[in-house]
Amino acid sequence: MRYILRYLVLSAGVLISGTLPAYSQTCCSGGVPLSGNIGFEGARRGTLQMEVSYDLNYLATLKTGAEIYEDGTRQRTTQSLLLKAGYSINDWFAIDALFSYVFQERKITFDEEINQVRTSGLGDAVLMAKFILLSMAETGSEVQLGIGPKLPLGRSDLTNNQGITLNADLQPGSGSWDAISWGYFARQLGRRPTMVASLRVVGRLNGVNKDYLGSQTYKFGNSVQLYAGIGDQLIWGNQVFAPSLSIRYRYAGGDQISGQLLENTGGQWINILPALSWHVGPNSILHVIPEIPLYSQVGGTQLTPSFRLQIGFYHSFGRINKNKSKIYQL
Amino acid sequence: MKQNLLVGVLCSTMLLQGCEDEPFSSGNSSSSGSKNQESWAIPLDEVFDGGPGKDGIPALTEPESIPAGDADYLSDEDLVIGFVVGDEARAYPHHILDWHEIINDHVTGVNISVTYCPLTGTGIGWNREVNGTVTTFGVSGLLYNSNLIPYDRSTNSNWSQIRLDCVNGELKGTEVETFPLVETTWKTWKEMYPSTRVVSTNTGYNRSYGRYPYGGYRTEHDLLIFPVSNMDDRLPNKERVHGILFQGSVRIYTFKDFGDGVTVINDNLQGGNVVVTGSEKDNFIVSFLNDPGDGTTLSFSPVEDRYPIVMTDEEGNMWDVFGRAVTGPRTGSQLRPISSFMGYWFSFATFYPDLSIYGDS
Repeated sequence: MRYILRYLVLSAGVLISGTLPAYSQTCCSGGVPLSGNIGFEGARRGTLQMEVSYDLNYLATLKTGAEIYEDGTRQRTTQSLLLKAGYSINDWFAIDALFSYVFQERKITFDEEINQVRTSGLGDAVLMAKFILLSMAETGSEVQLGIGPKLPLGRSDLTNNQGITLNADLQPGSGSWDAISWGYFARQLGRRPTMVASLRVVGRLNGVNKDYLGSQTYKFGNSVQLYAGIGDQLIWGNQVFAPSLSIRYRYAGGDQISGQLLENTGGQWINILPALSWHVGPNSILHVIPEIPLYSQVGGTQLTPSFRLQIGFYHSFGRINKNKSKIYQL
Repeated sequence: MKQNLLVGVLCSTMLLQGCEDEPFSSGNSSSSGSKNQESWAIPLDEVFDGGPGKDGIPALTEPESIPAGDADYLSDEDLVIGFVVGDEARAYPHHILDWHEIINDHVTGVNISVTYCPLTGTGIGWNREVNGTVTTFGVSGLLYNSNLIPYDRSTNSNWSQIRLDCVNGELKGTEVETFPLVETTWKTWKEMYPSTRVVSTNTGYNRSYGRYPYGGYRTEHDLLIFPVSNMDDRLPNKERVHGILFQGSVRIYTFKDFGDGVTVINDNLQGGNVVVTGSEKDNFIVSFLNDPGDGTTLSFSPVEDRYPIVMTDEEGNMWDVFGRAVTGPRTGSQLRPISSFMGYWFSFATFYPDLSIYGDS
């Protein structure tokens, strides 16, 4: 109980810090999707859960505030390979880890000439300790809280082919240690034990890259994400599918260079995620999650996501909870 | 079996994404499009990628211009950069330049690139006829000492705006020929040249031209987005000053040196007589070599309320803000131009650490 209380205090601190007012924005929302992907659902003691996924983030919408500029000259893509693993040490405590490898591209089309810069490399990673406070199998509700560090495994000093150091948003890593706080709440609905509503909250308090461009510091804006959704399981033939629909809200504060807020970073985004999971085996799930922007209010002027897609494969080794209903990674 | 197949397909799809980039190394990069790999005349570790990429900030070429009276998007205090050829005056507002940085224009037979760096506040008129070839300049997306690096589209060479030379590529070492410009408020410029035309917001790009895209950058003296090689705290970093570059020496003139009316400063820099004139209230400073072309050194004094005329001399000539004699015995002659431009103090201090400030003991 003492640990849980300590967690709650730390977690509240991270979440509150993540929402402190900051005027501006984050570069272009093209970063590696770590915060949004950490955290499995609860599993019984001794269960190892693994997932490998591919995440495509395509940014070609140029906005100032909420206004879209018709401009087809700039495109950014971030493709990430994500490897996630989680191990349940007992029925109420688990460790999750998320590793990434990232491919980024900036493409400018001007007078029919295309200029591209591509970077790739090992990205940052997240470790998280999770406490399962309520189990779906026993109570029909699930409550998990987690906290952990983001490790700066990725490089943040890549240069182009002329030896010129690239901007922070093209680097595979952020160069900083960050703190991530995570909460997951789910409840079975009505008479259908397979229908579940869930809410996921992720706060990220970012540290400082103290060696940016040789003599400066860089800090990405703190962020908070909320996912709210509903999902069910359907049987078609002898196959089990789990469609779900969720809404994602993300707030990111402004980035800072050497302690000074940077214009054209940060903002707020609301996206809709109509997802489909296919239970390809008793312990295996294939999922597809498109993400479509509904609304965004960016700080200053920036490229913002036009479309996002994640395809992943999940497998658990060990017993899974009976009556487990998955809204796969809302 | 079904599971194994799915895993295989999924993993293959993922691996394909990165095969061009040697996946699973600790990190690498590649770029395509026109580029050059030649050496640089400036320290490469002080050149940085600005973020938007090459042409990510689109330069304009011969944009539409409109009469002053139609420029509803400008208010009196907005800054513009003015250029005059013969009787034709053209204004290039900061509101446009903040978003495009370079305007390649053709004014009465003159091919000019108005280059403007929002991060250093420097606006300089470049002759875009280089070695007999008319070219256009684009925004390379690179910065040196936080300052714009234009590239020319004929050879793809990179140039330094404040150094006024080519620093990388086929034309490395070539110096820029500049045209005199006047940076002032829209109100003052209209008073000087009521028939001026001004670049319209119909640029072919959809931008918020009334909005400054760098937030508080202009006034937050401690905010520098990119590293610079030298800092000097004698003046606030973002104070707008006028710098004269002459024979390896640089001298800075601040608005405090000028009064509400027109003030003329006859000065000497490295043995060269220069004349600097301006007005703090009307927000302009310009400078010339004190040489009307025949080696004579004149003694200038200010002229009030006769814009664009700002000076007279002991011979009775009247000189305009571009250093042209518009009445008097020397009508038609012009004071020899000198490399000079407006910019933030830190940008001059960074590029020219040995600079002096006028009036400093």
